[in-house]
Amino acid sequence: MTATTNAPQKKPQAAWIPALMIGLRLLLICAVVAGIISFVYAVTKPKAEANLRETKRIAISDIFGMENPDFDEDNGFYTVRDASGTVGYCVESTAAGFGGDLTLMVGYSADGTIRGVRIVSHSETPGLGARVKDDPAHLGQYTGKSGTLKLNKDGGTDVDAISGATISSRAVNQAVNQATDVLTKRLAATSGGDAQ
Amino acid sequence: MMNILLLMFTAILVENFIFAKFYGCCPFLGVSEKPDTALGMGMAVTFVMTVSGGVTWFVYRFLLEPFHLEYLKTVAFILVIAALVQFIEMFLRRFVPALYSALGIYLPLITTNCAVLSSALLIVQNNYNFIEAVAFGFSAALGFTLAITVFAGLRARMNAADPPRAFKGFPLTLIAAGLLAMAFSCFSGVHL
Amino acid sequence: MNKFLKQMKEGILDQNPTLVQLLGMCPTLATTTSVENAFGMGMAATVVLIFSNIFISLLRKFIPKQVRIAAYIVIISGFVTAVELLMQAYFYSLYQSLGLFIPLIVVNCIILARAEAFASKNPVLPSAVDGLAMGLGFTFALVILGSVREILGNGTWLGLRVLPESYPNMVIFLLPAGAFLTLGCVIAAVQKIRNTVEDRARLKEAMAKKAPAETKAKEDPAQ
Repeated sequence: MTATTNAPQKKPQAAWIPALMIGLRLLLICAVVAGIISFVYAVTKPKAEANLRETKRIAISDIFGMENPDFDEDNGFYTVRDASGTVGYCVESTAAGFGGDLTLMVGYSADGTIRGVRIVSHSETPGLGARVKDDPAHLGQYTGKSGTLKLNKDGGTDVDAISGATISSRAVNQAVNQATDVLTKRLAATSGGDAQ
Repeated sequence: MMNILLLMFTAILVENFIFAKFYGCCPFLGVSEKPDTALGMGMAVTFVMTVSGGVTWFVYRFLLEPFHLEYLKTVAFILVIAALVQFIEMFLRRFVPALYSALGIYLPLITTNCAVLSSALLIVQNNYNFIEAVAFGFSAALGFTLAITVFAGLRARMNAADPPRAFKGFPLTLIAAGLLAMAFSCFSGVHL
Repeated sequence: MNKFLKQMKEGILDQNPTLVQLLGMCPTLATTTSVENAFGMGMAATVVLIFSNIFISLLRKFIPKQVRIAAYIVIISGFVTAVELLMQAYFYSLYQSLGLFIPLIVVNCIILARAEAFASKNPVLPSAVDGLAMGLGFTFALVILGSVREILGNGTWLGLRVLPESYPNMVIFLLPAGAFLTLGCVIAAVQKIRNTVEDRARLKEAMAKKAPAETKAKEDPAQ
């Protein structure tokens, strides 16, 4: 069907005027479409950002068991407080799963042990890779652990992968380890700062 | 260098566009009746996807990102791809007639091949640099070519079969594709 | 009114874009791992189809013939982006699970095919109905496929358990290979039904032809 557009068109000698008109019309259509999209974008942007913040807020409050956690964000690093002061940290971390990116929120107690792991967004196959999210026991394995973790599938003893969802389990594990790295670096930087 | 090779291996076999990701299934099922045409289509797609991988990367980095117009990427990419296909067609017709006569009839079909658009979008999503973008476009298209040529060989033999009437034509084609996908799924656990 | 009903029946059954016309295979295979995703994909495509049909029909005299495909693609991709943004705002989890397949609605052949074959030649109202009918036909096909795959692969339907816990999930139906196999079998079933209907019609026709001949033959000796 697209073939017809590409058929050579016979143009008269002074063809540039109709050609210009065609170009102008196409340009007008493009401009109107771009306008419509910009309008929709402007309308939906606050809501989309609120969605993202809300999923993060739910993940954090879930990990720390607080109704309304008080936290500030610095580029994917969250410091979580209650009335008495800092209770822990959260790090957002992304790794490639089977169906696309898998984004986690990893919560740490103030001493650096993992307090909980929640999946913020994923596009894994329902019934397969998505089981890393649906099976609470899997993410629960991370609670209380610290340092770099290794899956049983890869010769480690820290975490058991879900059979049939190895790729997704690996992605989760990789994301958690990345998050731990970020936390270690941050804490080192701040304690270095305190010493000065 | 190792990095690029791993990326290419993954794109060709582990995350094969057809059998693992379903990008580009329409031409895969439509233009795979004969091995020759399948190879022609595969080569045309490879050509366009390699070039479009680089061009869309430039468009995104230097046009969309500086002006915070990332949300227009789908529109921009499909326009770039359509224009690019048109341009490549004119260029080949004028300067490389031999290649044009081999690939020409497949080129117009490529604009609506979702493999091309999805590779452009994946390049942005995965945050590739320019070399990775071109390598990814090239190797994903190579995976497509591999899939479509192997499948065309299979179909040529299938024509001799006499299936139940209800399965004639498309259903049988799909089931053969399913079996081939099963074979390819042995790569899906490979982690590099 | 009758005409619209006929159009709806064409789109959903007789000329079903997926099961009969065999268009739009990528999203059909990729997003049918669960009924929810299949339905979401179908609805997103339906919305795009209705609006792109309306717009292309409105602009059918304005769009220059020579660059019409480019114009259609721009209009379609515009609506796809709008739908993507709206889903991001109001159907966030669906937006996440469909992932890259939302922008890929742009290159779904069903939409371009309806623009070229119908909307560019018909007034606005029939074009809108055509978009709705074809979109629902697409959704219908996706939901059937999604149901088969989710029930056999995961033992659930729309997240509700339908098969007993002891049922060993046949994971193959959720894998890419299962997508091809299931679609092949569903289309074979559709062809079977169509063959039967055709055969019956032909038989009826043959009987009708034969019947007058027989009555004639009976009358003949009487003469």
